[in-house]
Amino acid sequence: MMRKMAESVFVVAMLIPFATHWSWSYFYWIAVAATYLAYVAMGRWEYE
Amino acid sequence: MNDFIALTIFYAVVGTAIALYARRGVRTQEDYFIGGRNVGGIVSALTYAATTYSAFMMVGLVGLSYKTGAGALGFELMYLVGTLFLLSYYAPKVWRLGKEKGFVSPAEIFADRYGVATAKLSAILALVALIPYTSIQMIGVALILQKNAGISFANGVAIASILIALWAFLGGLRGVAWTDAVQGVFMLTVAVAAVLWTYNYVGGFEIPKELAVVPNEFWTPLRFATLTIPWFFFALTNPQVFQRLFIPKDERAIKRMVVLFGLFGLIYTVLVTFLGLDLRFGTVLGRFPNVGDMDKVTPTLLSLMPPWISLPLALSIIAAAVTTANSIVLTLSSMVLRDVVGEKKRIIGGEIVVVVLTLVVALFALMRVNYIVMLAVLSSTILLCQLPLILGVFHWKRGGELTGLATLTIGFLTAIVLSAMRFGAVSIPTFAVSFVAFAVFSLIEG
Repeated sequence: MMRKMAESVFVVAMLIPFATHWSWSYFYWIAVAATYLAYVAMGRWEYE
Repeated sequence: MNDFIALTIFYAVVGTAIALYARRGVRTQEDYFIGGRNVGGIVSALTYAATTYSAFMMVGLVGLSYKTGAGALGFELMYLVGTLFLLSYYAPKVWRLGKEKGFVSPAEIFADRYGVATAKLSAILALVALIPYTSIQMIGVALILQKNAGISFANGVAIASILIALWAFLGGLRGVAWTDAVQGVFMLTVAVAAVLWTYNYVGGFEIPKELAVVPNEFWTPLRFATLTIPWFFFALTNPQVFQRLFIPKDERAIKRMVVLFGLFGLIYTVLVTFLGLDLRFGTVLGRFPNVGDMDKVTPTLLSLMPPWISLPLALSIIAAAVTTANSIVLTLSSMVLRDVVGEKKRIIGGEIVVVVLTLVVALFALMRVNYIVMLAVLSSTILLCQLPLILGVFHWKRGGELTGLATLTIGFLTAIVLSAMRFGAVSIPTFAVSFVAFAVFSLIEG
């Protein structure tokens, strides 16, 4: 559960473009989602 | 016979052959509705993806990206991140609980914890939320057939009904999952081809400056939150995807399902939003017409493409609609049969309910009245009222039947009443009220 709470940083990271007005938000969002997907794929699951 | 009719017949024949093959060995409702809990990770991932990603992607999201910019990608990827966040934690727990207690219908998790009446009500709310949503998919198929094959709308609805019901009727979940897997690969392949063609046609890719930044006129923080909340929790609240958490054969297959679904979703979302943004760049360059109505962007693109790409793209939109619709119909059938009627043995009942539900969906599609659209848009918001109950199964010991019934009733009424009053951000109060109702009634009930 603690690990899951730490993972919520990825969810918060998805909101950052609303505060920064970056013109490269499109690529930023793809990078965050891809990084989180890689984290989920490589992370240890309960059964492992 | 025109080329599109020939292509559609080929598609129907291949799908039917797969569904007939999948029918072998279907003996129990567990086999029929959840593939005997014996589906591999790759097929589970592809059926999860094809069920989730409807015709909205290639029609709605292309138009939304074209019209409102990069925020459309943020919205759709927020859904994906939310789904990965929830599934990587809850999917193994739901799978284990389902296997241990023999759940087949998604509402059985409620019957076990909050009583049979709560499961019945949950099934009825799922019907109210998802029949109009499914009818919109059917309308989409009928309109594509009308435009590309020159047949009447009513005949298009009839053909769409057959396409939606047949594979679920014949092969149950295995029929749906295997045809979903083939169609999912097809959808992704055609999306790649469409992006390459469009990139070449437009002559490059650039996001016009006013569309690259959020917030903008459309993507205000409030609108982003309103649209995102129901989708963020979609994996837990929508029965057709929740039931898919029962189907993998083991825990390794669950992880594979979640990760490969994430990969599919990421690639498909990027392709679809790229298409919308590139077409907008084409408009800036004067190479693509300025389209005012966002729902007309994809039809305009199809009219400019040569047949070798426009016909497969149109068929991929049909595939996206059919894969979503038949999964919903099969899941709703399991809920009607097991939770509402109480029949948990015979398969024939499931087959009959698949046909009856498809006919009801077709009737809604033929009516095409305004409240169908309103309910379809509201579908995920209506289903939000189930979220506290699902989380309660794993994290909250208090609450029983009263809590279940009160939470669903109050959350559902909040969504409907606020929507009827044309309240702008229905999902936020629905979300909040459902949790408050759950907390209050579970504390009272003990």
